[in-house]
Amino acid sequence: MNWRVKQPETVLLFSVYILTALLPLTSDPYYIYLGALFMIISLFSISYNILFGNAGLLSFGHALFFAGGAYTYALFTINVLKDPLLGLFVSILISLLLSLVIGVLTLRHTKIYFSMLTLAFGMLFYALLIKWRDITGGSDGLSGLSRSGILINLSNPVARYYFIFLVFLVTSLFLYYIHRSQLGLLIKSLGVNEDYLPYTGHSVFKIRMLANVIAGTVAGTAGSLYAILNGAVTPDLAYWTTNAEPLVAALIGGPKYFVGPLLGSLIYVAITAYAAKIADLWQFVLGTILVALILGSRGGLIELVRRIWKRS
Amino acid sequence: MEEILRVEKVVKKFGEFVALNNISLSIYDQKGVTAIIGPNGAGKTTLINVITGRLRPDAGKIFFEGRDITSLPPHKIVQLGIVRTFQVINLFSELTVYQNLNVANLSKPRTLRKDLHEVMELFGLDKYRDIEVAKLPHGIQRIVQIAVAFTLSPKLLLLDEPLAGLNIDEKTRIVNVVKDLAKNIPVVLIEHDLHVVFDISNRIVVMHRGEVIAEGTPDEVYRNPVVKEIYIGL
Repeated sequence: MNWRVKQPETVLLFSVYILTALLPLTSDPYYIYLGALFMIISLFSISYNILFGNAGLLSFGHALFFAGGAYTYALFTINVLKDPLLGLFVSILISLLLSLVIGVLTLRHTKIYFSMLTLAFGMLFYALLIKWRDITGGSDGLSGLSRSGILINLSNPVARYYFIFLVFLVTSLFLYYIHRSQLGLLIKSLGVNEDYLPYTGHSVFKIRMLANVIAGTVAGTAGSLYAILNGAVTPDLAYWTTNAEPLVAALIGGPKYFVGPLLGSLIYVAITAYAAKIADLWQFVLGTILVALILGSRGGLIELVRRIWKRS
Repeated sequence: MEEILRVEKVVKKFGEFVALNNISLSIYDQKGVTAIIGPNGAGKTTLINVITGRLRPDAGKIFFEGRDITSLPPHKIVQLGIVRTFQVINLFSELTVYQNLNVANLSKPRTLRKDLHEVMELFGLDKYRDIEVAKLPHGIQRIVQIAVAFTLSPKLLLLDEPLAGLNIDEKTRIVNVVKDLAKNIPVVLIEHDLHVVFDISNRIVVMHRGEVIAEGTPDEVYRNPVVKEIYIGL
């Protein structure tokens, strides 16, 4: 595996932008919903993969940031001010603070201890959402969220779609820039050999923290978009199994590539949508793909395609 | 001669095993190679690990340029100017040669960064620029390790068995690299190959069971009867 497949990644990334930009032309509400969901899961997965595929940190607490963003949006628009744009900005800010705090508490630990700590904080947050009924709506969550306000109006599904598209575009381009930047190199070096990094003069904690804050903030952004898309939030967003979504997406697409989780999200959303129509088969289908990929191609679909490409 | 590094009565134990037994040692701020030799288990690598913050001593202190660095984390010690390499190759194996050097370069303030093309040329690495380190021969990887260390602009360079696992040609090449580096900065070298040690060292420190049992010029050490008894004359 190497880190230098850059041009094909750029092409893939921009193909995704063009396709998602054109999708509303189908004027099929179901497709438009799925497209929006895909962009949200993509942001969630790419942000997760900064930790998992790049920094080498297996987090089970990433759903905390996603749910944190979603609930911040819900609580802000219900209790403070009805406006999607301001709701999103507040979510981003709160996610940033939340990832700083959780980072300070978890990032001194490595490997399984880090994973278990993030799991513990995730479940703590889940319990908070369930128990603090007066504020969070308990297990029912919060619904009927406002999508229009003083600054913008997103009641129309297509307007909502393009709002999500715009945030997706800007955020993913920002992450792609980071991925290819000097900071991106340092985050990768952390994942490649964390033990050696201090002897090149870098603080492991500092680089982990930077990666964590970027990942947490973007996950919160995705969560906020999720609240806008569905108009409702439920505590299961914070449940630990939600972490499997970005993990599976990254593994399917290829965790060593920037577009890996993007591709994985596409497959994930497609399988959950279509296989669910046939029967409750989608978990079986997804499980089979995952097992085949992990046994056959650790680098995910992208690595598989590259290998076949080279052979022919 | 001014002292650059002082190890003062350092003790390091692993369970019952005493790896460093109240050891004191000074490295002087002069160009050239100080070799640390001694039988296996003498505590050479442990000494380097304690100096570079990889291990915390159980007792004693370490001073670098007069400053107490005993409890500093490894990256701070590197930033102060003590740079090391490892006995078992330690690099970012999935990254390219250029990226490995760049990671090191990025830890320094912008104005102090090196021109990496010059560094690669200096070490003859330009043709491997975009190759993943893991795919390079062992000997080249050893050179990359030293080039990364050089990129960090060390004031004191600690090389832990840089010749381990190399063939004769590769050894000659690394020895020349070390000689060149030692023209400008103090280098501490842990090495088992005594031919190399007596060839390139200005000063030799002999360790045995966690203590310094002799030190001096190669000649003095060669003639030291204690050294002959426990080490050379084994």
